[in-house]
Amino acid sequence: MTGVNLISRSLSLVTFSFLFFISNSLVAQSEITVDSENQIEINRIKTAYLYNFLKFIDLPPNQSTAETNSFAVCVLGKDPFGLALDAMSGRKAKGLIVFSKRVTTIAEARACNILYISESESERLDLILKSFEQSAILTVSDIRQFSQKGGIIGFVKNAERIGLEINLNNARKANIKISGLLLEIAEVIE
Amino acid sequence: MTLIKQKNLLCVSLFTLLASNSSEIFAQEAKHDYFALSLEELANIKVITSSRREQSIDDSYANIMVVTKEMIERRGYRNIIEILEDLPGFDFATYEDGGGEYPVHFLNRGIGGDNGNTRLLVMVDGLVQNHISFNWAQGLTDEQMLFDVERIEVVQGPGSSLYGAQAVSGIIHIITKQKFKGFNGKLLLGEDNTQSLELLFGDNIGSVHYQLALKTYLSDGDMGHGRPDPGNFFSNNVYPDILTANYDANGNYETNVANPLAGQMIPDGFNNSKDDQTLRFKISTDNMQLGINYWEKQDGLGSYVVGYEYDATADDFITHHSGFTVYMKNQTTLIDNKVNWKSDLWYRVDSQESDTGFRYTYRFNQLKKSYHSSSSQVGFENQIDWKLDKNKTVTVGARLLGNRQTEQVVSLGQEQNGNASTTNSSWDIAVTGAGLNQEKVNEIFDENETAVYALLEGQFSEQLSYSIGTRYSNGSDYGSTNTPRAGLIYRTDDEWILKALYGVAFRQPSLFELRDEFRGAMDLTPEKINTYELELGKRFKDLGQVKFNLFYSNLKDGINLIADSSRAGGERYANVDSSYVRGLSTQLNLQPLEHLSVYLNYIFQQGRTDEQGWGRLSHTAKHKANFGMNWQPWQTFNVNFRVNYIGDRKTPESNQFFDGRAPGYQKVDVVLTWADLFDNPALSTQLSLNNLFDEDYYGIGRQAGSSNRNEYDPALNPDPLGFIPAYHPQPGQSIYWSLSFRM
Repeated sequence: MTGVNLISRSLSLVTFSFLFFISNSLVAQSEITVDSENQIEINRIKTAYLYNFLKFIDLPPNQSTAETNSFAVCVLGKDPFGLALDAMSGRKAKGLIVFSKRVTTIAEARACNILYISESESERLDLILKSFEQSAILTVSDIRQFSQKGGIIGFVKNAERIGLEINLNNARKANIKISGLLLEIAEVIE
Repeated sequence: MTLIKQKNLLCVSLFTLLASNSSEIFAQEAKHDYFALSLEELANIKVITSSRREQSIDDSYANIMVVTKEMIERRGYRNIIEILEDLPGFDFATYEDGGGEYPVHFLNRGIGGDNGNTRLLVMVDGLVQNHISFNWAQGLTDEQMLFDVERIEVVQGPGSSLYGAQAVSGIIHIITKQKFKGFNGKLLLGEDNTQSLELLFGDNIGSVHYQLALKTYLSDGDMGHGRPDPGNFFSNNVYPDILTANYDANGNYETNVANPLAGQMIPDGFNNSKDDQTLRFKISTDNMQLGINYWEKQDGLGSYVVGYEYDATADDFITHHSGFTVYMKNQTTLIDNKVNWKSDLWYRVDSQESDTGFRYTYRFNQLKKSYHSSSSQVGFENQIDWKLDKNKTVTVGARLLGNRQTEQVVSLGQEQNGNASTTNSSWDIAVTGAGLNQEKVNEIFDENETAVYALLEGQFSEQLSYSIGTRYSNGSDYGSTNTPRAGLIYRTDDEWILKALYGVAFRQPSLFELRDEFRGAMDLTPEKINTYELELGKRFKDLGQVKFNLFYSNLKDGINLIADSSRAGGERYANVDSSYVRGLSTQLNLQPLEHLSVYLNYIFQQGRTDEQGWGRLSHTAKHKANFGMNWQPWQTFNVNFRVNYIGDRKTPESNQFFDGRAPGYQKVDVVLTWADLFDNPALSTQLSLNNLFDEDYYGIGRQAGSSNRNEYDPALNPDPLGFIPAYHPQPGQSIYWSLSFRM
């Protein structure tokens, strides 16, 4: 086989493919798929969600935010995200710098705007949520039935997506307004 | 400067150049910047599991290994053979070339090794790829496309109760991307004029999605040059002095005539060129999918026969196969969250084109012996999954198959119409001296199969679950057979899992074994294998997992040749063999750091027959191990390093070159990947260095491997007994470079 053969076949392939491309005139962005066994990739998607939540919630004025001119996204307990969480630091949301941190105590967590509660804290979940019930902190977790147990946003496994379950009642108690755009992509419970 | 040193210098230079241009961001494995996606885009990311009924690996009643698309990309796999080399259990005679007119020759956990490896089931999206007439495992070398693959599930152990015949040693299930959107391409270049282009395009028109994947793979091949050939099966040979049989220019038959090429050196090596194409096109809605799959393979026959009896370097020393499938799949929820119905309808054609063949050196040397065949199949399968309650699911199904089969039609001289079951120049007639260009009509056989299967899966408790099922198959050629399966899975907690598995699988006799005029036997019954397996797995949270498997298989009624003086060839096929295999395999997968993952797998296996006690299995290594490491020091650069360790291998008594043992080998592959090339997230490039340290290695001669090169004498013995070489030489260090884009 010679290069001439490849060139002619390649031209045919490329031409054929571009006919499909041109016939629809829109170039769709590649659909992203992730293997369900690839937990690292799934956790990266979840950190992206944590970052995006900042853009779609209204938090009441917070002393810590005002002082630091930044948002704090925290993980309480054993961190499943690793460097993906660090990748969030330095980005901006609503004009403020976002930084991420890991906390181990409830007291430390009070300075956060978004608090992801790790599965390692399952046993003391009730205590944690009671502590933040009326704090303007968006609580998020993968713990089963999190939003039914007092949390605000729970990550749930849908058939083929990473789903969100939002408890509006708990959000109201925490004085947090959630944008309709975020509610649209989530399952909402009252 | 030697070629190897030149290649290494080029690699170092390229590495230095590209490494200096890579941007250092965060040490992340992902190619996607998820922070840059909108909320809607995040919500649209699909998380996919694939199995016959959407189960996770831990929940499956089988020993499954999954190769994801990320693994395929990072490791630079070009074909399924390269993937299987890194998994436990596979012993190769031929690898990605050298299969001859058959696709492949290898064993899986000691089972297989026959022509075309008929004891392994290969599927693409649930559609069987094994040859309709000959049961060969097809689609494992460069005619298979990996560019549109989502994942590959390799199941070891019997799978007939769900999937039918041929799933004796296991199943390779290739699952392609569904509803892909975008335009991806990949150009690959390598030595010996290797060039490949793959394209993947998908989009929606309203609620209808369409997807097109194309591949072309071309290579001149290395012609076997530089490969180890200690026995001179493919080198340092001289044409024979005489032609034992020939037809002159007037078509007159003559014997023992002077060879015009007498005394000249036979060119060293063998034709292992490649010219492969693949197409997969599908249109999907929510419930239905229509598709067309086509592949074509026109490759050099390689090292499958010895170079002194065949004109192995000739351009026409090729195999030419193709496969075509058109299908319709339908999936409907009959009752929400309770009953699902899946239905598949397909039409397949497998063709062996009539330029498949070769020329002998010692007879008819100007006339090509060629093979052609064309077989077709219509199939219809329905499956219902019924969720009885939260803990119990029943699966029932039925399959109807209609096959139109032809044997290989063998011709001498004239190129034939590959779709016909006739020849205008029958080899069978010509070889007796009765004349060239004599017509022969081969029979066409219509065969049908019906099968019904049922499977019940449930839970005794939160920790203990079970599966039990069976398949009843009835073929017009082989009668009926039952293949049950059962399994228990016990989970101590989120970390430990214990599986106990039992399964029976079968391989129906091939058309050749049943109907060959010299050796066929219509009373053949299917081969059956019983396999018992224990699997113990432990997850180390956030770190990885380890898995141990103990297996024991008993292959009964194995089909093989026995002496029969009543037959013209002195032999016939019969159900004679019983063989037993046992072994231990282990797999460790760890992610000690976010940017670093490692794996290690190992297998030990033994076999015995009714006549001999436990010992090494022929054509296999008692010990095999694979190690791999993937390191992503920064977001845009990835290093993948893999080692295959194959212990020394037992050779059959018929293989006269080795004294019962062939040496093992260790092979190292390194793949370097740069993403965001020139700061463009759509571009990435990859450099693959296969067999980095230029290890000399070969596969053990397929089947008997009985050729004795010392018996070849161009003057006195141009056609010694046996034509299968004692080994199949493999390439030394090879370099491939690719450039990928995504839009």
